[in-house]
Amino acid sequence: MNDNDNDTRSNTPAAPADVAEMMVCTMSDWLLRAELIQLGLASALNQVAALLAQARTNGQGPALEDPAALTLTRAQRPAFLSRSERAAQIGALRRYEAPEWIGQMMPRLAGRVRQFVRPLQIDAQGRINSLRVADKQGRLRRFAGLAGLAELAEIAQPFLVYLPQQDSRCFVDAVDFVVADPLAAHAPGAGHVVMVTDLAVFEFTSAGARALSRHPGVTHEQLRERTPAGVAVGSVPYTATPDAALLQRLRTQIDPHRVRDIEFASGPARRDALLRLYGREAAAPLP
Amino acid sequence: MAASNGKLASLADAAELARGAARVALGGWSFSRRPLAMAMHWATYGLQFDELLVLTGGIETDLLAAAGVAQRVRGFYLGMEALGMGPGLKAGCDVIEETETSLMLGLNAAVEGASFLPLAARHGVALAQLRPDLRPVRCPYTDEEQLAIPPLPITVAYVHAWRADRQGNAVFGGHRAADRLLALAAQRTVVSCEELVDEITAGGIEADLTEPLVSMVVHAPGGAKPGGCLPGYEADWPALLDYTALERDAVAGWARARLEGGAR
Repeated sequence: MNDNDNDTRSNTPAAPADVAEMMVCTMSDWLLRAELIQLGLASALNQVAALLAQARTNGQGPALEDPAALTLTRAQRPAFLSRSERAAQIGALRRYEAPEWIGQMMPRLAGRVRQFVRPLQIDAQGRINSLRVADKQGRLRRFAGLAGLAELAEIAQPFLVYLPQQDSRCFVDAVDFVVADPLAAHAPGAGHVVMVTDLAVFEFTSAGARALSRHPGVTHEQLRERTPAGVAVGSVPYTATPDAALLQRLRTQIDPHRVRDIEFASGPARRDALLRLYGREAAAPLP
Repeated sequence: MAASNGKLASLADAAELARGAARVALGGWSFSRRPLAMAMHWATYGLQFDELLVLTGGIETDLLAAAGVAQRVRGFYLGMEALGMGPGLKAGCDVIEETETSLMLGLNAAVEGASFLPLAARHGVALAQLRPDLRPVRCPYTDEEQLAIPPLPITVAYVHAWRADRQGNAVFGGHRAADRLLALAAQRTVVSCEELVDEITAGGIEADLTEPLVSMVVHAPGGAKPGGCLPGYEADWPALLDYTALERDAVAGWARARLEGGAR
């Protein structure tokens, strides 16, 4: 697994892809064919994957909507987290007002937009919870909010999800509260949810949920143990590993500050990782 | 000739407009252009109002909840993004849940004088569970099921801008958020600013917010710190992380120290 506190890990071209790199490269595969990518708030891996997808299409693929400044841009740039508002203004085609983007633009993007969402929970039916989960005593604890997930479930196809740490708390039989039901948001048989985790890639359709691939090094037993029983994980191939050129581009051009590592840190290590990232980004030139 | 002071007011006088207000809105988005000097003033002096309306609620919302300034919070996202949650939101507070669309509809209904605006029921399934106050209706033309989103008039809106003039014309600088809509929905709007200027349109820049919508202007350099206000400064993550580590009962003291120490 990824040890994001170990900054001695090299970015040498020879180093094999770690979990964060496997995830962002795989996530970028699912973004290549979008007309437009929404980044979403609090999103590190999604930002890196989106910028990588943009770079892989030499700027001719998806445009990027970045809520850090609510801009639309085709500019190719490195990922930033602590300086995301300034970075989002690079090459901005427009700075939107929130009511304009939410009320007027989003409804016009049906079938053309993709966005990776990190939920609190997802269940075997592909239902999403971003609002509240029960603690060990059964009390509901509130987290982020409803945001615009119900609308996104209708316009994003496929609906994309990621989990940096797939376990039985976040990938569950049934979510504690349904904020969005992406399969139900479409005509029967038309809904499609894809999820990339640190272990595998999953697909949810009206026919059921199944693993499409597991990442190199992940055993069938590990996958079964951390996946709800209602999700088929039978004999699946390994996820394709990114080639050396893609890894090199990721490490040196798209994410030299290692934004991709942040979502794997927790507890005191997370604070340290955030401060290190802040320091690296502060030293980087930005217009 | 010396410029008239126009709508220029002190931070304390402008802050007082919120005392006991039914609904106070704070502009900005994420860590950008949050009126934090105003929020710290309220937390320091124990001022209270009923409801805080934000789109995305960050450190400003967290500290107002922690200090007991706002009795409840209305918004569609609460949290400090990659930095997690501060002591106010960790402890929990009374939240009126909204979606992005329902909040925009409520504000627009207030602006337009509509008794409600309709939200497609399929977009409000979760919202309807959390908000039994929202009434279902049927579209008289299509028979579509809808949720009637009532207007959300704002008593006072507080917006922090990069530049403003004494008449209340303001240039936001970074994220535009929904601050113009907040001002349109508000009975009164206070603009605090980094730079107080005589010629707001110098260099061919147009104002984002114009004087008919603005009641008071407060010159508050650094008034969005430890968040950011582009193009002047960016969010100060070390200070924000220090905030997230506070105990809830230390928040008012933290706010006072920053106000009095000029750390903002």
